Amino acid sequence: MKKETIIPVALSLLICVSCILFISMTRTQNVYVINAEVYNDFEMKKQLEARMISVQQQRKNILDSLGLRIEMRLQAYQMNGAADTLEASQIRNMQQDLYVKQNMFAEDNERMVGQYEEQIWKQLNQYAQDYGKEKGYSIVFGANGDGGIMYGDEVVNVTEDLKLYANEKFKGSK
Amino acid sequence: MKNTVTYMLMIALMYSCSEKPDVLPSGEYISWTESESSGLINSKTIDDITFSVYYLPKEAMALRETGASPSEAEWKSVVESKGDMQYYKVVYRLANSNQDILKYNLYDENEYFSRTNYLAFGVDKDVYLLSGKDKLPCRMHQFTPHYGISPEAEILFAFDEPDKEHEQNKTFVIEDQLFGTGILQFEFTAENIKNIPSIQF
Repeated sequence: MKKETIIPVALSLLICVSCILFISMTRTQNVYVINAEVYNDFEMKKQLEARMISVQQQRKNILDSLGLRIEMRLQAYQMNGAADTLEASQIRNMQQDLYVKQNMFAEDNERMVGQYEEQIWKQLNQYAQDYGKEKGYSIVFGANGDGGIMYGDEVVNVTEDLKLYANEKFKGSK
Repeated sequence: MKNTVTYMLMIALMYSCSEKPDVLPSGEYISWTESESSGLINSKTIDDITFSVYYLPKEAMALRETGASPSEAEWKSVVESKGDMQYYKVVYRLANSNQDILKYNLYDENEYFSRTNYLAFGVDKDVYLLSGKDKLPCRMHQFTPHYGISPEAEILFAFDEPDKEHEQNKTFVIEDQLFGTGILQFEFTAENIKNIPSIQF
């Protein structure tokens, strides 16, 4: 056999053997990810978090402004001897309004956080499933830091890889 | 020498298989634009629901209206009537069932009609297009209710086209209000849009 023929054949064999070894090593492999890292670096979470902060800030501004108006009217009312019953009634109405708004905003903020978290986990869970299937893993464990996984070798820690995968999937470019 | 020629032929064959056609007969054009290999379809499945977004070239839309073998002049006039807009089709379907997607996880009968109503009149507010630094709102949309005849829901969207030379990637975004899946993004590369074949008449 000529030398020019031997080199490509040997190279092809080497590539084939490497592929077979790689596939057999990864096919039945169990891996783990650190949930908090995947969640915190997920692009969708960052977008929704920014949106939530903006909404909460706007609501806080509304409440602060209303609180300041009440404070100013209350001071003026007390300086005038606190004798005007109509003014007192209006201030009480404003305080009531502030209280209702505070509760309404707090409830809505909580609902929004819950809704966003549900949406984020829906997508993350799906991308983790897709990732596991594509890579041929048997199980992808999620380490929460609650003792579910006490130790995992760094070799089977695929957190960084899943983060990249999930973000590409979210962007719709994969 | 013989080996070198064989390798070159193999490389050329692989390259030609992945290469997109430059020109297509009008009869094959629509099916090509709706094939996976065109790069003009982007799908994702979240929680049993498959969302597919199709980039619709105006040329293909015009062919649908004129029929597969129009005269070039007839076809051109329809293309021009589409204006400086870009068009996308969104299809919602269940990934593992032929059930009507709009009946999926219904709370009650009224919810079916509110979903239909939302797709007909409100979904455009929750859809936009990212093109470079531009965020383009939806200009028009069309949804035809099928009342259970089809398992899919199909909506057509139109946006302005500020990037006529297709220099920028485009990302179609749906802020899903129907199934609680959140922000859904679908990217279309400038390369795939630029490389859409022309039509041979």
